[in-house]
Amino acid sequence: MQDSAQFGDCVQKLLNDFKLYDKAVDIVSCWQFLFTEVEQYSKNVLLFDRFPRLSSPSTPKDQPKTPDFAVLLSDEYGIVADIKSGFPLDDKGFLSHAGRLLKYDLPLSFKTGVDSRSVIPSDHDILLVIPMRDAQEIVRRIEKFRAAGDLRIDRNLIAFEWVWDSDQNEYVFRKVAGQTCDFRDASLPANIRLSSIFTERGASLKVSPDKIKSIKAAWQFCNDTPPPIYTLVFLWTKVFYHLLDAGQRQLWRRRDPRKVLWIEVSTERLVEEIVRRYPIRWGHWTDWARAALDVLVSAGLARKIAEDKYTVGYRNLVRELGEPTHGATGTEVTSHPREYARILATYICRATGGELTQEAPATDERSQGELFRR
Amino acid sequence: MPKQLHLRGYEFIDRWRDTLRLAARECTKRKRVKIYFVSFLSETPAHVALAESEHAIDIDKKDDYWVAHLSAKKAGKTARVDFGIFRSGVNAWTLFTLTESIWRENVLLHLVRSLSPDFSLPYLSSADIRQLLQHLEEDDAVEIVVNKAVAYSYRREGQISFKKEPFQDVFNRAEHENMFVDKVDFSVHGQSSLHGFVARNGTAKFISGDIELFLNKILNAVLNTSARKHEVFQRAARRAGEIEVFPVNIDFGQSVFHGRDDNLTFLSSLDHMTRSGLAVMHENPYIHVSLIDFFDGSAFDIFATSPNSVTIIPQVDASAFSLNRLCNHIFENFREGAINKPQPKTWQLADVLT
Repeated sequence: MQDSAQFGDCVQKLLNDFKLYDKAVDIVSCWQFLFTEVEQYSKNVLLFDRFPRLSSPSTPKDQPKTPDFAVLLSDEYGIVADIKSGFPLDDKGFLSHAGRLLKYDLPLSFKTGVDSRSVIPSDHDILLVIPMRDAQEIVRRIEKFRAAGDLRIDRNLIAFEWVWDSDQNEYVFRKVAGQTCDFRDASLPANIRLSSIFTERGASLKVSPDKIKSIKAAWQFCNDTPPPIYTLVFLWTKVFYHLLDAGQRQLWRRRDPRKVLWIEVSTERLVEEIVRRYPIRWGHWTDWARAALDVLVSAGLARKIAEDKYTVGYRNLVRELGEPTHGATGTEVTSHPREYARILATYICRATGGELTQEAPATDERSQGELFRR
Repeated sequence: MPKQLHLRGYEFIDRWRDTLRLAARECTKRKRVKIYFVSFLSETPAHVALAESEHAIDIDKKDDYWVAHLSAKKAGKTARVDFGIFRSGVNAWTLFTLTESIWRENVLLHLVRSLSPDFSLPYLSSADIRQLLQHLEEDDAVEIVVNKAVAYSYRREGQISFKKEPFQDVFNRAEHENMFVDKVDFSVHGQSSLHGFVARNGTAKFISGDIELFLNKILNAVLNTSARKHEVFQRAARRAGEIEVFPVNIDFGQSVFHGRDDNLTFLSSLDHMTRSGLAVMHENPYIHVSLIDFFDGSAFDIFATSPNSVTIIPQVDASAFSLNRLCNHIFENFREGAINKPQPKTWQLADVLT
């Protein structure tokens, strides 16, 4: 019999993965807001690429680089950014983690947003976005390793720390103090030079959720591989219904949508439907979709009938697990047993006996700080 | 006395207005008889959709409207409901019947509901109903008294009834008690007189008095209000293959989100929407949920990021019907508010640096 503590831990871990990813989506959206909605930038920026796949002319045979976002501010200057939740405590792990940034330390081909034209800007810098809690220490260690020659990055690596300001209800980003690197953005108009704003002036970027809601609703994901549960919530609430045929839809109008309707779908057909409806991360959905469908199979909510072919038992899962109903007022409620992330996590953990087999998100076991988890 | 005066043959005359005048005279003659109206929005002509539906309906064409004869089951027997169908706005349609039977009213209402989401009933807020009566009072220099009204607390857990009160007092008290007005039976006194009824689902009854006043000031107002909302809802759907989204705001007019408890109350109210599923992306300090309406697959992202409003962002192919249903659910289960389309804003660096 499954241990209840193990089961609880399993559900909690999946929900934490879900929240962690959602926080990354928020953070990318804040930067997207700056570069695409703030007039001074939107008039100048050539393209904010939310799902970049940047090739390098130096290593044409290598896989494209996939930073968390890339922004081409002019033909001469761009930024690639990675959002990190933390760094390992031990030096070896730290260097290995920091070393992952080296893949951006090459000339990179940025999309321009005009047809399929790309440009290799003469300069680009690497932006590292980290939680404030450990930011100072991480920057000092990076500086130390660079000075010692253990970490060689030719391009400038600029670290920004972020924090949620609960008094003002906004995300705050600022350049971590004590860095020797700065943005090499002299080619930009003076009023939008990041070096002037965030280094000389020492200003911080403040973005409230109100400003990013449309961006978040439009783009849904960020360039990091989502945990399958995040993709599954998206598929269950926004995509699967549209794979039902007219007769099935009519049936649900007359009957309870908790009645199972079977959807036979291939990964290819699912990807086609996703990108037809939501043109995000065009051309690179197959892995995400397959991972989500495989988890659905392991959760007992779908069957794999052939390679890349599945039958999904689609229905409204609410109350299927005998969840308690909510009280009349919020004060009686401590969690949301009837919401889909939790319902799907419960199915997954019940079926796997509380032992997760899917890959953990990109946090290291011994990471410096718990990051997004609050 | 027959339960329904069969408005057929010579009584369903050539034009719908003339027919209603005739029916209004019956209402004056017979105390319990009224004309019952169900209005709704539909892009497909109502007579076409009804004729093509699975219901047993015969439809005859008149000069400027249609007459329908529906067979419905009542206590194991088949009864007939005769009703008129006229076009009451650009995409608005109204069914009417002369009756003293609640059963016949329900048959018509269920008929319209059964054709959702193609037929979308209006959902009027308390403020909409109040405004409708206020305009009538101001424009026609009449006095309006509520004969009977029913208001509910959010989630319909409590109910109060009002009797014989000036309409403003009824609405003020409901607002003060955190309740929404569900239906109003009212009388108009002055140069014209009218006894009518209007409910938040857009159904209305002419009971006696001036039928022209009723048509022009009550029925038209119901249709105009719902058509305005419907247009906002229709334009809000995200188109397949496009990135642009079109948010709709519900402005509560006061600060309602003060902390986690208020967030949980809101989430709990969404959770009670029938035939829907909810995923909580973010619960506190701001709310972001993803909601699917299994009725027609419409999906919405819902945000509460400021103390006095929520924003609904319809996703690809979300229907106006479902958005209407969602807004009304929030109105009846959390709090009523004003629906509006946020104005585009130009952001400056100062907005994110200070």
